[in-house]
Amino acid sequence: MVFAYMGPMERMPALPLFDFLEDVPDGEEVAADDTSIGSGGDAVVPCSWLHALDNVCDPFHVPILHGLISGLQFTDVLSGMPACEFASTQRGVKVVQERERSDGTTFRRVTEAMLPNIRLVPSPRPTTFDACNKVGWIVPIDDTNHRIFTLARVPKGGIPAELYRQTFEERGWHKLSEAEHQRMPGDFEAQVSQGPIALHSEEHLATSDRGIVMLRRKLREQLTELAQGRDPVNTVIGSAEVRISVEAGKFLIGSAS
Amino acid sequence: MAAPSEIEFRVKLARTGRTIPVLKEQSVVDALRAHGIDIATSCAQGVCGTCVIRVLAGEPDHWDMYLTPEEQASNDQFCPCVSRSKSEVLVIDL
Repeated sequence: MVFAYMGPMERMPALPLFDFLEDVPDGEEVAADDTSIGSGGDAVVPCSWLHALDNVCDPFHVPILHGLISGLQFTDVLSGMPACEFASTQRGVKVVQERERSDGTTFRRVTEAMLPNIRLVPSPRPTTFDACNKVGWIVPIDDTNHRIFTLARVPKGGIPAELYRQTFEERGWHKLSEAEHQRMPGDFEAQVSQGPIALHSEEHLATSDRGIVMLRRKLREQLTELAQGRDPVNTVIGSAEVRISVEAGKFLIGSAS
Repeated sequence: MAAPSEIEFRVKLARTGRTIPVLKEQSVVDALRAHGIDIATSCAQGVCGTCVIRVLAGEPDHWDMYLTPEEQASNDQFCPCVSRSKSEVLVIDL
């Protein structure tokens, strides 16, 4: 994966270094992916990149879309309704989702949207509990197309798309017919079917959408900052590197009774 | 005409000086609408921020989830779809 900076040298921001990609345990390595992990469909997603960013701050679509509507697409541990806390962080918005388990423990899943376009979403597939081990850049191609580029920690030789891409009845999205896409919609169908650019004026937001509203407010604030000639959040100029300590992950709280 | 006992507080419209009563079981948006003043709303649940109005005097009783705790504490704006008033009169920028 290559990052290019094309502005004046004296304004070059530091490249963010994510702790989980720097401190790689033995037997693992960092792999790059350009297939839009998290899109739930094609690598090039024919809708605004903001649809994909909304997704990160919308914890309730997980049990509803990926559990109820389409059958169990992730793990059963994610199928219950979570108790959610939405928090504004220094770098964006954090969503903490907790589910009580029958053995007395609590399953805590944390997702983060880092402005302007970074998704820190722990994989919903493997059932292990760990800090998030992948980061995705939701990159607009134009106003109505985007692609997600991901850096992920994998077992040596592992392929991120095989480990982390969504499956439908154990098949990848590309192996499904159009009728099956309609019968088992995932993120791709949910986001693309809103049209190339979702009209916020036609939405019916509810209390479950609080994270999305926080995220949009923060983005709008940053546009104001930019318009007034200031550097937006997460832009660090004049420093060689910036370490990012990620909060996202899947954690088991308490001990089983 | 509502009996005075049903009135919880009043909103005063700064630009015209009109005072509008808000009943116990009525939102500020509904009270304004009943007097011909239409506030644009979307979610009507204190989430989206469409209806936010500036508060010029008085102390709002915030029930929304849109404003940050800091914004709520500064008491200079509120979401009339769900929020109410701690003071008898709330002067709003309408």
